[in-house]
Amino acid sequence: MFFRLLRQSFLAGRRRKVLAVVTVSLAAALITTLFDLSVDVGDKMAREMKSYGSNIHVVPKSEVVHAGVDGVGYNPLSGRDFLDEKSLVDIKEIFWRNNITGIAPFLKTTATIGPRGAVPVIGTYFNHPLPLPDDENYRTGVTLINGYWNVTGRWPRDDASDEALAGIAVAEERGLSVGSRVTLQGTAGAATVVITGILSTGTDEDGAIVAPLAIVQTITGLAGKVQSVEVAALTVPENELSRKAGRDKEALTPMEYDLWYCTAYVSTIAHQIEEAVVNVSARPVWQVASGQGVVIGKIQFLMLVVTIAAFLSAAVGVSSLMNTTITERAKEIGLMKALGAADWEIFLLFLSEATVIGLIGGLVGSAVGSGLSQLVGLTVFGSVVAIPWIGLPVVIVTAVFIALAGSIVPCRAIARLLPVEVLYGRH
Amino acid sequence: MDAITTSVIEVAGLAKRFGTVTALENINISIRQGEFVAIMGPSGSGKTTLLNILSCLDTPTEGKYILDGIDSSSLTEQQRTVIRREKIGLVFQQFHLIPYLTALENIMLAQHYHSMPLKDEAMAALSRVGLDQRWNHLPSQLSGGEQQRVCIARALINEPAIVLADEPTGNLDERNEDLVMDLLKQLNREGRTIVLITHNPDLGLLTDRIIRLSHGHLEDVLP
Amino acid sequence: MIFYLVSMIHAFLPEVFLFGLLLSQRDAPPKDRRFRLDVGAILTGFAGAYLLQRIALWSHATTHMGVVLPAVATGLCLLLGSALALPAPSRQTAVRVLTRPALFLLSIQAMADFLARTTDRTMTSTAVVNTELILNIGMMAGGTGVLLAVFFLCRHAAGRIGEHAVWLAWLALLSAMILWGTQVALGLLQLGSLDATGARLTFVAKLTQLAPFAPYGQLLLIALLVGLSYAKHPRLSAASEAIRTADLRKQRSRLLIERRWRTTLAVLTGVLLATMLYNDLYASLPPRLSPAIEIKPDATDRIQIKVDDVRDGKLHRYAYISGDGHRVRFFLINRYDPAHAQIGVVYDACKLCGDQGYVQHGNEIICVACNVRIFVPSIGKAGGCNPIPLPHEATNEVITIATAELEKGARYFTETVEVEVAVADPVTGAALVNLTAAFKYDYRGRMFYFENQNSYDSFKDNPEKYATKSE
Repeated sequence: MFFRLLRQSFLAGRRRKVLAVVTVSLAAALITTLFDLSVDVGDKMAREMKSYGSNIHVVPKSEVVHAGVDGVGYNPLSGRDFLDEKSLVDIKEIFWRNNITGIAPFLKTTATIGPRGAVPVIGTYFNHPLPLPDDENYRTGVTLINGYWNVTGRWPRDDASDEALAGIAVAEERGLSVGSRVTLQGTAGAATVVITGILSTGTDEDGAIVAPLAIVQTITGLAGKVQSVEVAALTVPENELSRKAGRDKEALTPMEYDLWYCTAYVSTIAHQIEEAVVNVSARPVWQVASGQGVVIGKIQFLMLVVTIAAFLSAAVGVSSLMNTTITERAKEIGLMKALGAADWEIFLLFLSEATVIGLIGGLVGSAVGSGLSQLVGLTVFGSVVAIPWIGLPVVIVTAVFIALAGSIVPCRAIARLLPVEVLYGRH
Repeated sequence: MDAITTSVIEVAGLAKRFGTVTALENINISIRQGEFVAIMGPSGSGKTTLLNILSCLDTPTEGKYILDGIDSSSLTEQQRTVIRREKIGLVFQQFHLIPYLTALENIMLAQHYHSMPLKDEAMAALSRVGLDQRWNHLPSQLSGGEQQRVCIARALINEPAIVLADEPTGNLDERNEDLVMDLLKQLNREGRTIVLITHNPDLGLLTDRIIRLSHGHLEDVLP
Repeated sequence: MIFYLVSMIHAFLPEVFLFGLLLSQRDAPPKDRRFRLDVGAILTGFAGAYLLQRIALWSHATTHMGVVLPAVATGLCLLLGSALALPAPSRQTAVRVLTRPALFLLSIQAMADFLARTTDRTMTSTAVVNTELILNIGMMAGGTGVLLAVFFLCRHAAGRIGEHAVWLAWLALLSAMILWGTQVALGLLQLGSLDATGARLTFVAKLTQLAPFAPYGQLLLIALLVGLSYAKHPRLSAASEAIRTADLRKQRSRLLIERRWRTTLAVLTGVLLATMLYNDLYASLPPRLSPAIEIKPDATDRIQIKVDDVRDGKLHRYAYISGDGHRVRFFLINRYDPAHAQIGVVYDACKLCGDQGYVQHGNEIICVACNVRIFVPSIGKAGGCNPIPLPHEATNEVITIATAELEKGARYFTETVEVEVAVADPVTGAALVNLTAAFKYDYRGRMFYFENQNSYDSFKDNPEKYATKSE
């Protein structure tokens, strides 16, 4: 009977209900948009933190202070510390060597190309032999560790002294294409290279010439030196055990201790690299966390404020609509009371109506909001936002709360309403 | 059983004041099981105030109101709600049917608040007032007389101790008035206690007894 | 995410059930103010537990807290149990007096238990709102709702079964006392306040093994409550003429409502049971190893495996039963693409984490024990958590493994099967069964079995002589 009553009463006041649904769905759409954007980045970050692979950034200890601006400012190389190219082997000598899937050294500088000034130049391994005591044929380089480096054309050969890649931005700016010849004039020498491919990575390398390490060492006069090393490793994400160990190693049972000790956490591997190579600092690097994550992290609070504002204004809107409804239906409420309905039974009817409004509004809002977030994603981040499915239940629950919050104040009038006053039109 | 134990309504020394205005003063009424009583009086005589108190929608300022053995003047709002759903059937001048529910559903709603809706029982109540053919009609699709009969069926569905009918024919034409009054008479003959509130002396004559109110006081009680 | 829900069930279900039974025994129905005080006692308990846990973590006294709180709770259970044993009028008074302190103290115990279970977990791996965080919060909100509902439903049902509620409450108190008493005993043993004798250790260890099943016991008791309230369910009085139809309808509706309460409790019990079973039988289990192919050496005491059989990049697991009955597992996997077969031949064990083995998920090879992903091209090299290399000979067509090597590998594996005759007493030459031999002795990584003390002693005195002889 209750559901029949609810259905009939809901259908009876359709016009006002539609208005309420529109109010709720507008707020829901706004909340969906913000939520989808935030959760998309949050999920990417969580995935990154929990992934079974991570990159570790190795730099000389004195460089740690510059790490924050790394990649942005190509600082002059003078007066800076370097790593020995020879010490790369040491990284593959650590206890967890088998979990290191690749190593790529980097040496960054600037070089002038023709009359139009300097461009950044990065020297690295592409697929370079690195003989190890237990594997003479070991090869490594960026082709192995940076899956997202996309080359149109061909990768340069590491042993060639005249091949390089041009980043997509610098290629456009300087009119370079596959087959172009450029002369790189560095501080200590020059090299003429043929562009074998155009590189697109979505990051700083797009604006640089990427050459085999040897070429860059030649033009900078830094033979056998590298500036930083990128290490890709198979790791175990920090988990319950690692946190327990971090909290109190004494609390570990002997079995747990053994297990913790033999688990390749990224922190463990980074620590071992620091031990194996003198005077370096090794830190895990997170792509999303340091990119979009920073943006979202900072505006998360703003999003919360906007969400609350949307919530409140929609609730106020629903509230005024509900108020009118209750005034209009005063006779009906009075009758129910006269028939012996308890106050809560009448509340339940009106709050259920509000819930239905919230449900519909949330559904509609989710649909509209998902579209909007795509639009924002494309314009702000330049990428399509993956719609997180969790957004649907969260927004629907929020929308129901909006409708309920808006109904609570008007519903208090139900308790105050005296059937006497509405049932008999006279005194 | 003697007359005292079967009295359904016992009102003693009842008064109702709104601020300084006295609506009712020193009301003493006793209505026996199965009686058909009219409460009559001109507008402003306190009829409606008395009706509200009798139907447990309002509480007296002083005095006692004992309904079916329960002193309702000392009850909480929640307890009075229970009394309303179990002991009182209300018939209104303006019918007060829920506009978006069918005739049948309107009756089932009263069942719902009382205990649980039972379609067959509600249908039987409709056929009792001769409207079983029109069960699926909305109030707007029914004539005034039909609406009032639905209202009476609703008032009776929970087998209340008393039926309080407030000007049940006030909005009806003569033919429907007769129909409704016949129905009430017949229900009375079947043992229902009915209290009719009206200013219409013709209707009063159809009852067993008339209680007259004037300026908040009882005038006299005809046998 | 189900972890949080399961932790909530473990920590709060005993309290929820106890409170339900207890409050049904309190004389008057909770009126506004009293109800508010009850809620206040519970919330204060929660806050207190949080505070205590912070202090314990800070002062490294978690073990102490894990003794004191369950001890207090156990004592309280004893008190409540005796209060329930009192005759009717004084029982209600005693329960009324004890209820609020019980709510407070048991809430501390429950919340502290929950916090201890979840200390080393994080709800989210990043500060930005993400699906995992929302799911965890949602699960906890859902769990709170279900447990609250179970509380109200239990209280209602317990109020319908009269004196039986007392029996149930005793059972609930007993199960809670066993649970918490075990924690106290274990904590005392850990702290050294209780001397760790063999008998005590065995007893506590046995009880501790029961702890994961405690929620099943509680759920069984709730099911019992449902059953009892069904058995005590009033029937519809025969529709006599004397009863008015409206009264009959009222009776029916009351019974209907009772039935709904009962059904809801039964359904929620089912939901909790399903959650526990899902977690215990599926979600929390370690990955299972793919079956190993039992392989026997050929006449030349070698095992030969064709490269073509294993070049597909999948993990191919084999098992060899060593002379002393150890089941030696090893696997072969192509480290490169099928066109360039480079077969890694390794034991299915890690030097560090033991013989739990490795599983393949998609293209990844994972160590079951420590969850480390193994870099496939490195399989066959020693170091890290890599599987222990198994010396072998490889040609382009066939991999050849000498059984002598596999015999050496027996020490990496703990799993034994019964083998007859295969092992003989090196001194007397008598045939023995590995699992029932009277004595055994590990000499240079190989296990020798002896039929009696004499041969055991002679072997120990001069192992060199017999060991070489038995080769």
